[in-house]
Amino acid sequence: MMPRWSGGWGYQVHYEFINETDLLMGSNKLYPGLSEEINVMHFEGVYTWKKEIRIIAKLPYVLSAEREMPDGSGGKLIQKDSGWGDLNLGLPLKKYFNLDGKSGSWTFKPMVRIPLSKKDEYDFYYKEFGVGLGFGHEFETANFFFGFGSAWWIFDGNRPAEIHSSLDFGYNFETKNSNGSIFWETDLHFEDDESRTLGSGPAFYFNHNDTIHSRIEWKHDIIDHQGILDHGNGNHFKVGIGWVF
Amino acid sequence: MYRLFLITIFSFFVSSNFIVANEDKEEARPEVRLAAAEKILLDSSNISLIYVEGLVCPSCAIGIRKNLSKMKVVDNTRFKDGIDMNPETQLVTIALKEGGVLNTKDLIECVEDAGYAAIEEYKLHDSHLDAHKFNHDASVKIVHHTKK
Repeated sequence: MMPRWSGGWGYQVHYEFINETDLLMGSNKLYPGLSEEINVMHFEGVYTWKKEIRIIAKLPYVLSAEREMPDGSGGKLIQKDSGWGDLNLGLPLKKYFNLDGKSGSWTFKPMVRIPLSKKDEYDFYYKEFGVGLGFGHEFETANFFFGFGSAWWIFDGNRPAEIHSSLDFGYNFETKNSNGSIFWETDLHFEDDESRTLGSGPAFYFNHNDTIHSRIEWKHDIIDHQGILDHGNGNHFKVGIGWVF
Repeated sequence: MYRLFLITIFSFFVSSNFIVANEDKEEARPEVRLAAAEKILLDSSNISLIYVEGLVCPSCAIGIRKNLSKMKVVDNTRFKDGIDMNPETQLVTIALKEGGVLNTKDLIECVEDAGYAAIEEYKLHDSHLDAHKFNHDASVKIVHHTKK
């Protein structure tokens, strides 16, 4: 959760597991069963300077990443990766609005991506400098949440430009002492080499108290089209906990 | 992967046990808010009752509690740190120490700083529920809402 109040800050840690079951070319399973499996820890921090301006930092650490590739003689080659991913810094600029029974915001977000290590044979993260620009809109009532956003990225090296878009619906509920939300989230990831992936799935957010929050989510790739030979048809599972002050 | 799917479904099933408290939830409407305000004022003493526009998400509004609870006149032993927030009615109840009086300018600033807008304070006066509407200069305009 991002602190909306001036001077608010927080951090969160979440674990992500990704399993992609096939090696695709376009939408075809060129090598069905050659999979990729990734375990990542994400460390994120946020500081809200004023309610309209905040800074966020995201740093992933790949615990283990392993992919199976064809070895050219009918067998498979296993490649591995681990270590720090790319540091992602963002400066979300927010415009909040408050109406009777409704509250929301518009967001404009410049971002940079900074590689922390050199490229090698197999990298789960890009390890290229990148700049991005995002915008988003969200609003909620006492019962419902709606949000959409999009971010464009370009990179300094060979990596194609990217667009990530998301569309989220949520239902807010209350418990005796706290509250939470159940979401249905849909993400569209597009790359300039004609790769496109549409993933969708549920998420659950719970506000344990004014300080501790947690979230669990799962997404499945409904549509996966790879512009180059790459793994796809994945499942993404995330679980995390955060603190705000 | 199948195991992860089951864990996710199980988590949602477990979470559904928390949702029961939500059954009577209503979207905020002015008449609901005014009726709730009158009841709160009749049932409680030493409080200040504020309508905060947009207060629909308790997680997002944590800053309101954080800011208001730092005010010296707030009795932090009552409610949660002295503040009760209701996302259905958008009412914020502030527990005050004996004889404590809120500074209107500070109150408006605390709420604005948290990303929301303090619209008016409710008070029972004679047989009326009065709304003291906040102006930008922290002055108030009194509006009589109900007659008993």
